[in-house]
Amino acid sequence: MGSNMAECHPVAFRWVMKGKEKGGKLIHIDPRFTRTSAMADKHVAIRAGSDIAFLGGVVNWLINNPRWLNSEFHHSYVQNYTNIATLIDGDFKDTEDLDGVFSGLSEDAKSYSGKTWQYQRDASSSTAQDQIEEKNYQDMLKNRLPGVLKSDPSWQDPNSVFQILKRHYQRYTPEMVSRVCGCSEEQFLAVCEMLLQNSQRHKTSAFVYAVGWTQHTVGVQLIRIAGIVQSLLGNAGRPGGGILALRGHASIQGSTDIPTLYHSWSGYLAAKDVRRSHDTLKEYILNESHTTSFWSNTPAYTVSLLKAWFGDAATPENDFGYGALPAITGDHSILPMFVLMQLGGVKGMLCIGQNPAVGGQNAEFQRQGMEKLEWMVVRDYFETETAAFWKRPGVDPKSIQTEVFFLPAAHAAECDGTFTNTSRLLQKHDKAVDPPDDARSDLWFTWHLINRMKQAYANSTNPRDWAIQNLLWDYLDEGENRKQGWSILDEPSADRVLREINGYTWADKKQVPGFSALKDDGSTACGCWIYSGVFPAEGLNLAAARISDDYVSPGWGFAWPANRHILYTRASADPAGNPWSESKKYTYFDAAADSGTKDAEGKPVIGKWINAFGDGIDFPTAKRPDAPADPTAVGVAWQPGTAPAILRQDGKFWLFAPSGTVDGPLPTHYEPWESPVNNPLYKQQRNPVAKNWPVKGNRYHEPGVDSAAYPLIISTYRLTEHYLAGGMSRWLPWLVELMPELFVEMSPQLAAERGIVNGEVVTAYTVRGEVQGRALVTSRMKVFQIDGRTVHGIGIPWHWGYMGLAKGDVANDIVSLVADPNVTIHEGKVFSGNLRKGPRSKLAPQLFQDHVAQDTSSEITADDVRFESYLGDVENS
Amino acid sequence: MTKGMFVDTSVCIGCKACQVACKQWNELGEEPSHFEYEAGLPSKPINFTGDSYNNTGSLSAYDWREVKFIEQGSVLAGNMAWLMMSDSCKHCTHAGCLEACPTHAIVRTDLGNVIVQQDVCNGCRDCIAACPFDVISFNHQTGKVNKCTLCNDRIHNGLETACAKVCPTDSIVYGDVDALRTQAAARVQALKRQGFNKAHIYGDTDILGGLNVFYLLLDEPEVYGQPRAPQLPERNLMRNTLTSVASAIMLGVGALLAFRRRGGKKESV
Amino acid sequence: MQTQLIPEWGWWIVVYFFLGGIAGGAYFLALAVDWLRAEALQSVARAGYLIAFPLVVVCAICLIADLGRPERFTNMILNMSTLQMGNPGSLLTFKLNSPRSVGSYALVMFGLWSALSFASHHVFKRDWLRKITTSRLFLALGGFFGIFLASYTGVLLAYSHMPAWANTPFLGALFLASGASTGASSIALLLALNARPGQAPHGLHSLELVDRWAIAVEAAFLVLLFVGLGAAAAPFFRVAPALFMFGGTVLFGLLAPMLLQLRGSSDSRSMTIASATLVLIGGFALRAVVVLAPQGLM
Repeated sequence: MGSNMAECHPVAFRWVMKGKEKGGKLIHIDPRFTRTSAMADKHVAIRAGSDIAFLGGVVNWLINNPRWLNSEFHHSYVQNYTNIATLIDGDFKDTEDLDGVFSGLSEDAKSYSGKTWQYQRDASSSTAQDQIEEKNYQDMLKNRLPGVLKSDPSWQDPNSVFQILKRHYQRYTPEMVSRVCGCSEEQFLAVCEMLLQNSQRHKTSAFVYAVGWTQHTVGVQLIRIAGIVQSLLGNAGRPGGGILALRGHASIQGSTDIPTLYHSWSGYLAAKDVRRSHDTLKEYILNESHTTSFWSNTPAYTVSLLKAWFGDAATPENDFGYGALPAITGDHSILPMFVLMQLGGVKGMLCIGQNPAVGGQNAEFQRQGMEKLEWMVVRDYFETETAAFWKRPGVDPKSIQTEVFFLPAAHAAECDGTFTNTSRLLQKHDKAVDPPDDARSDLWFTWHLINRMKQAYANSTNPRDWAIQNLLWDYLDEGENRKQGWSILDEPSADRVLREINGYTWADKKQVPGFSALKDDGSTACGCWIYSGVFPAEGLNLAAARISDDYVSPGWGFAWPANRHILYTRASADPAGNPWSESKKYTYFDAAADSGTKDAEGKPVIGKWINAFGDGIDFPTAKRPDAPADPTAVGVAWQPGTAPAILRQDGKFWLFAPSGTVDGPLPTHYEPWESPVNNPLYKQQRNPVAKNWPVKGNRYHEPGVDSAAYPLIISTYRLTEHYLAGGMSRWLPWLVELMPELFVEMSPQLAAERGIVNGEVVTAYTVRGEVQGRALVTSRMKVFQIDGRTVHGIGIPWHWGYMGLAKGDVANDIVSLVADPNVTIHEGKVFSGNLRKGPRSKLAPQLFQDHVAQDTSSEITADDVRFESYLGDVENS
Repeated sequence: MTKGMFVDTSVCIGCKACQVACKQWNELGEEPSHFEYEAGLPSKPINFTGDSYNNTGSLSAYDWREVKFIEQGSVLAGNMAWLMMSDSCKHCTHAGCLEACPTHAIVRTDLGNVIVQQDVCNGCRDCIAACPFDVISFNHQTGKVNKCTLCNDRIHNGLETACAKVCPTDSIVYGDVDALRTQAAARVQALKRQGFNKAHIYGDTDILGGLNVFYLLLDEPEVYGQPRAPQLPERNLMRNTLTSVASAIMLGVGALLAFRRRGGKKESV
Repeated sequence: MQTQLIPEWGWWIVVYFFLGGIAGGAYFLALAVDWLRAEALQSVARAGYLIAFPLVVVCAICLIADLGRPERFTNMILNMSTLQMGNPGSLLTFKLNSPRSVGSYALVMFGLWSALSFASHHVFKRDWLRKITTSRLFLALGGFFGIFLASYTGVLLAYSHMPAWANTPFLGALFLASGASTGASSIALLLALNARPGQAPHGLHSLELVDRWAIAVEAAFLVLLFVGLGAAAAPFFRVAPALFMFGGTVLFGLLAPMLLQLRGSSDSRSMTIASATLVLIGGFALRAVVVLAPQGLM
């Protein structure tokens, strides 16, 4: 679901086809019939944006089904590994109680407080514990241990997660699923049946998703509900189970891990934030550590990261340089950044490996924003639409003052480095040739840029420049470049970067074997704790390991963390530690094996977790399956021997999420921000806290009001033949000819209604703009019956732009700039619009001017965007 | 040892990687007709075929591979199917092009693949008319004909064909034809068990002595634009010759009779 | 959907097929006269020889010009696969199965034969040469080459997967009949043009007899062709091809000359010129439509 894997991840889809050849069943639930559907055993067409309703229906079907309730396997799995029995705060109010919203919604209805979503705890257990002297971070965490969770193993307590779940999803009946999603009840029930039958002791089902799920105003909740379904079905932490996220491009996983994100430093350590208690390192660490999960190790990872950044300058006395780091003030991700740019709040932009003039939502709005920059640097292989925004069709270059620098970038084959793929696997790629002419690698550019900054700020006495002056920046290895015969001698060494990422002891500069060796006292440095172990010894780069087998292949590359290919595999064994079945044997407890550790008395601890295929195990390998929870211990030790989810505070898979999501603890069906359909489930139409920016030039279709003018559901998507915004495909004739023109997919029924013939020029439009393309009339597109009326959808691939060999309109010109509240991902997968015969009326800049002239939207200032003040206070969770 | 390819269309996902790999290895440019320009629209390719996701429309001197997309039924009716097939030269055991070639430009190598020797071909184009599969085609830039060589240079150096190499789902498999036929037969049986009743091999020894590049199809050959019973053009040689002889006799006798009647004496004025 | 790939045989081939038919037909008729030792019809024979050789030269030029690589026309005879590429095989190419290979030899032999006949009757009138070129063996072989040249072009088309060419066995026979008809008409035209106005040249009656017979044979094969092709004849029924086929070939090439010859006075020089011209137009239209229409080039 939410993935067109065959088209967008064809190489990974190889393994799906191999599974199918072995008799595996493939279900594709998607609005369109794609090349993935063509390969599926079953395709169910559902209306774009109705996935939560569908999976909510699965949850409802499952938890009321005697075959699930009475299944020993499922009961044992759910009881032990999920929070189904845990009790939630008595003040919690569900969408059932408040007609579509949860308790905690602020008065202006723009944000939630999660106070009432918390677990009930035995208060006495925490206060009973003696407070100790805080000599180190672990002591501090120990003093802050929370009370023991309350639960009801019979699931009967009305505040138990099971009862809340049951109430929350009671509306999601098969009949309702059919009404909301536009599939038949039979199709829905057949999917439920296949899922349950294939999710047993000896079998597992996996969910695969991609941006078809994330790009929604309920994107995070969509993935959450898949997590709920998989937890209920007993598919989490088991081989052949889980939820597989297919990332949007090569190494986007890597750029999340070692992030190009504003809110994360490295390895998912949060960025310093003025809205949180982050004033000192201690406050930061106490705020960002968990007392009762693996995140109790945050102190060691944070201090080691600071040590890697500032080296000798990082000392306990100066908080390891923490104070010199800048703090974020709000949401600085790309969508609000472009809103800010449009409002004149951004001075310059470095645009590397991205083409927002094509890939941005309400793209003309974003291009107009670029006109307000003083300067812009674009690094790419070709002169992309972004680099050429100042001469795009319909504008007068003389009127644009932005100074644009276009720098040629080297390709992956022209530099050393690693890719981190969608399954967290790091694979080294070697430089094959020198890049041509002045093209240079990103590493080269970044290193030299910072190096020149260091020179420029060398003599500054301004305290804020401390971080630049003291940044450890020693990656150049000219000798190695000369030895390899490369002509570019000042190319930094990717090997050196990876060695720092792995981590090393500060005193003797020895590579650390893994993150368990990292310390919170400044004796170790580590660039990214989750990658620690990738370069565990001098000369041993595991990203370059190339030993494969026909199953897990632990000898191929390095899967972070600690070469673990499947996470939470404690759940692949039953509570007693035995494999659920021989066919699904993975991680299990061998009661006779020597764990290699010694207990407090120095006696060897017998009994050890083993992985049958050599995969890394994230569960403490010496911890017995029947080990009781220790309410006085910090970290994973606080959790019992049956807790697989070591990163969660309770060690359980969360059916109900007491924290982590800002738009509710349970996934709920809301209509997309723009939908021609009124929410059949609740009075609440949209995700109440979805991020939106009602500024001039960024208009939305309002539910009900604009449904007549914009009655169609539009989805944008990718094709196999092109790469995203086209930077790697639209300049290559071989790829261009594969898909030469922008087209609009529509059903024969819609085409007949609009008098459109296959192949002719048509225009899709919204209040934001118009996009012209060729009609591709195909019975692969379905006409939906939603809540008793006919709803048409059209699909538009978004690869084209005004540069390159194959020019075409920018499909994103019509997409709405609105976002999920958790991660600020846009909603390109579904918005409303309309379609007509013939070409567009005007070029995008002219259309945009028309729209701005008519626009009566409320005014939001640049500072509003900087500090997100218009969204109210973000809950400190 | 005869080499060939087994193309299992049941696992073809239509990614067209084979098309690109073919062009890359064989250094084929873009198909010029894909880059003809519409007046007033500089550099606008015009090969949007409207035929599902097919971009070539046919094989050509530049497109030695064509991924066909066949849409059947409809999602609305719940019987939608989208068949895909990566088509190319079949390297027939009895090859029409090879038979027709008057210059010996087209030859069969020791591995059984049929190639056009570019140094010999003089562009007479008889082979184009002779191929029952619409495979071989004329290259206007070189004045010669081109088609898939089964990656002649690769396979003679122990490598598999470029298309088979990149195929992510192993829809295209390169190998010894005998072994591939065994593999294909097993695959047909497996698919039949899964309910694909029409699954069959196209290009077993029943067709032109066996196609060295053969296919597993999920529907009738015609659905994929393939001739059900392709024939060699030779079949027309003898019967056309005989009717020509008959015609010659009729005309010859006629002429002789006409001339004999008048020939002896001066024609009357 | 299958797009048919076409050999892109265009006007060079049309002209070649047309002139080859005339050359073959005219040469055959000339040889027939000599075979019968019909002194009275020597003007017919001389005209036939006069036509055949120059036309076959033009034919060769057309055929070579049509090649994608004209400079490699010798490859039709010389086996460059052996000579240049070092493959095992003969030094000369000769493929009995390939109409063009055999046709190339036929063209060469026809050229040689017609050149000798042309020389002995027009430019190098030596008795010893005339003896050779009127010997029965020479005449028999020459007749064979003439028939071959006029008919193999049809077989060449039939050696194909294109239904409109391949689904009938009558293309060679049809082209041969057309060759005889256009050959006879060419001779008649030449004779008529050389004759004084109002005076019918010698042999015209015989030629007309031959012509009428050839037209009848051609008409018969044309009917057989369409009957046999059935649905495969569809390319001939689009607008332009239909005009060529039924306006050009059937009306101008078959019906009109037949009517003219049956009704008109055979003494009339102008009638001969008109009739012969119509036959030639018909013959050309036939080649054009048969070559071009199935390729969608018309």
